[in-house]
Amino acid sequence: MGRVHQNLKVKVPDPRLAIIEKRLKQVNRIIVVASGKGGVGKSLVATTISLWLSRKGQRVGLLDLDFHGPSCHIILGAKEVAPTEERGLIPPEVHGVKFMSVIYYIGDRPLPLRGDEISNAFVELLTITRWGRLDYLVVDVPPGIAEEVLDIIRLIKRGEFLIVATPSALATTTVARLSQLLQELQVPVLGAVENMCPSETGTEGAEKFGTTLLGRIPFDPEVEEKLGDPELLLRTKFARAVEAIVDKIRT
Amino acid sequence: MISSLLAVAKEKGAKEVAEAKIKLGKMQQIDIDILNLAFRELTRGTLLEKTKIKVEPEETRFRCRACGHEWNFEAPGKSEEEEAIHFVPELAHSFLRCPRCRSPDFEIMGGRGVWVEYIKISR
Ligand SMILES: Nc1ncnc2c1ncn2[C@@H]1O[C@H](COP(=O)(O)OP(=O)(O)OP(=O)(O)O)[C@@H](O)[C@H]1O
Ligand SMILES: [Mg+2]
Ligand SMILES: [Zn+2]
Repeated sequence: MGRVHQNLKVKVPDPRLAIIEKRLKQVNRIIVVASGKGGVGKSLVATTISLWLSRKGQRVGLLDLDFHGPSCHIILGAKEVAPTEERGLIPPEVHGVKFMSVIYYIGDRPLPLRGDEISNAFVELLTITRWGRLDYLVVDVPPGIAEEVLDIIRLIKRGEFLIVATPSALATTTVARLSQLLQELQVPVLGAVENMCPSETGTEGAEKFGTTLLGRIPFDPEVEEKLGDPELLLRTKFARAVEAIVDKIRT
Repeated sequence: MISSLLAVAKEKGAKEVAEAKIKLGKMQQIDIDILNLAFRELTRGTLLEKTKIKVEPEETRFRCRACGHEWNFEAPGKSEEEEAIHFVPELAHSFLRCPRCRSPDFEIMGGRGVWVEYIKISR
């Protein structure tokens, strides 16, 4: 019998997904700071959490997933640093925090991306970044419940969500929607924090967020002038309220 | 890639895989010689040991969503831009524009990833 030659199409599964798993293997906990609502202080809270964790002797990474409006680098004061290229990208350490963001490559230029492009950029960034051994990876997520949130749920199953809200009724309803979605999908949720409060005391009235309230953070007018200087930022009333929340997250 | 190749070959009951065609996106910046070498190295003692591989580069190609223009991207040498799109191709939207209408709203049509187009087997 002669030999049968066949031309076969070969389907190769996306190798990036297997690599992502490998990249995050040595990361103990992944904290996802999200809201649904914009401008409620996600980036400030996420960055301050990572600074406190580092202060408390933890190995910490911070990933800015906001491709359209990256801002963690401004809060950290990350200037003139860049990842090291070594079988991927090793993020530089800024004030004790391993920091990854698209700003290293786009600088101040806009990065106009559509939905599936955001998804792809997210996958590529996770594939290429070598975090090494971390106690915590903190992820700053842009507003909405679109690609970034859905991709985290799809690809980082053990990500624990910290939901940021404000006292405004305009924030509460959107935040409650995110809580509801996470619950429905059985995603781990640490709880909510209420930011920009007139005063930080008490946890009453927390039901409205649809999850436990980990704490309230006061509106602190001093924060603005401390952006870019983590040492001074950590001494504000704002940061002290975040510290109490960090201690809750750790237990 | 190799494990997928082996899985397909096994599934089809192949005794021998004569040839495999591999496409390699130019954005990936992988050297064809190195890929060939790695393939030989990693397939030793497997069904793919004697397989002839044909590696074909795929151009980095964009299509403008605003005006429909299509073009190939040729990076000027070892540029910062080329570095950036090598890591995350979507970053092209921050520094490339459609050569015809200047729009940043373009699609990446080709040039990313490594994949197997087909294999030739005998059983
Ligand atoms: N507790 C606070 N006291 C005073 N100012 C605050 C407080 N929390 C956040 N801010 C300020 O509010 C603004 C919005 O904060 P931030 O950028 O962190 O929000 P965000 O939720 O990340 O926004 P976006 O949805 O655009 O990503 C910033 O100017 C920040 O400095
Ligand atoms: Mg933000
Ligand atoms: Zn165009």
